Amino acid sequence: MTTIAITPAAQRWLMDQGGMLTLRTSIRNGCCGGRAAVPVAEARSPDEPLQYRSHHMDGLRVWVAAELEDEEMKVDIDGFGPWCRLCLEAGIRPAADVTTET
Amino acid sequence: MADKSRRSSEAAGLGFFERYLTIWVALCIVAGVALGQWLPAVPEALAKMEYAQVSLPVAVLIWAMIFPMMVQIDFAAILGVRRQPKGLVITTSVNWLIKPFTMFAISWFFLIVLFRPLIPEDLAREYLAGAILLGAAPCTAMVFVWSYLTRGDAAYTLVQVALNDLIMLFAFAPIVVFLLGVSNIVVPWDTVALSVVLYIVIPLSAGYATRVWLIRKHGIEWFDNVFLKKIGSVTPAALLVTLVLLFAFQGEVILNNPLHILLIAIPLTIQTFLIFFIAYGWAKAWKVPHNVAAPGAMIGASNFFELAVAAAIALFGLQSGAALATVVGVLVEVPLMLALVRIANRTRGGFPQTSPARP
Repeated sequence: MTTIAITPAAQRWLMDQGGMLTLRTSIRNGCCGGRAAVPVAEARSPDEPLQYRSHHMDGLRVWVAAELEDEEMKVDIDGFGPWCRLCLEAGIRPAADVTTET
Repeated sequence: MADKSRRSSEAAGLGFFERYLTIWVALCIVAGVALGQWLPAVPEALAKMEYAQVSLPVAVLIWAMIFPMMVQIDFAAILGVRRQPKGLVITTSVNWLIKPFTMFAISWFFLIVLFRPLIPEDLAREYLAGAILLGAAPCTAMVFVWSYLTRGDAAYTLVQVALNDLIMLFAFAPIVVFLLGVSNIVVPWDTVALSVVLYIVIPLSAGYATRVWLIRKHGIEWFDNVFLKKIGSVTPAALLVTLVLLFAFQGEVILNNPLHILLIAIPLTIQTFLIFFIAYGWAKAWKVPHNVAAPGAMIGASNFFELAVAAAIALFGLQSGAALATVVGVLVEVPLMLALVRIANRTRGGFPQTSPARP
């Protein structure tokens, strides 16, 4: 089961940004070969919404990529003032799980 | 049986190529030596293709190795620098205040002192120079794979990689020049500066500019999951071609001293385990969660080989002992790191655990 916790600070910031949250993975290649899928959070709707599952949560519309289903995740915010960035605490996944290709 | 299953799951993030990297590197050594011995005209012709004393084929291969690693660096992750302060203090201290100096001390003791009867002093100093270059370049990309295999925290891994890459930009050259100076290996500052500009600053700037341009043009999802997937194999392919070329020049050294590869591997292996246990033990003493402690210890234990190989070639040449020493680092990387992954996974219970979804 997907479990998403959003901190109050992240929730307030996301509301200010338009109330959209996308949770997906980002590929990272190893220098000796191999690759991993790093979970990331973004304050926007996805490019290919059909590849995501959508939830409504804390006044936000949350889009979760297929490879992050059944994950326990926590969305927080880093930085300060205009230099803010969402942070997704979750485990790194095998890159083979990633299905979001546009 | 359970042990076999655990071992296979610990290597599950590695594909066929990277799991057997040691074998491919060994085959490249054989292929390179054979090329140098039987078709010497090929390396000789390539050696002539240079501009301002920079070998153009080698420069192209080095950029092909480094650029794909630089293009995926997400410097904005540095905004999370306050997220796991204990983990970042440990990682940064170990990588930049301890690792280069233990690499120097261990390699000096083994290569210059203990192996004196086995390695001529001039060659031993070149090997030491290669070890110094490895020690000054912590891993930037492979750590994501090690982090996955040890169930590391994604957000922390991103931050520590961004922070280390930023420090590397400024600290690599001074540390290398200082330690080479201590070793009585004179390298002009302008040569070091040129290699830093050629093999760190230019690929990093080009990588950042490409990243920004492609994300603007195609979007971040296309960049992450299509572009990065496509260029993922460029680095290891360029690495292997570089190794063939390098060993085409190194043939005589290898044929005359086949034991040297083993001798160089000894201090590099000890250093890998020592650095891992310093960071991992420090994290345990500070009660850092395992999903931070493991990737924090892995980044220092592993090296940015492409940069070390590039700097060794730029500073000392393709035929140098320094270049050979950096390649031995590549040779032992995957088996050593998989051993550390096993240790980290088996000692997970000794660390505080965190559940990411629980604030």
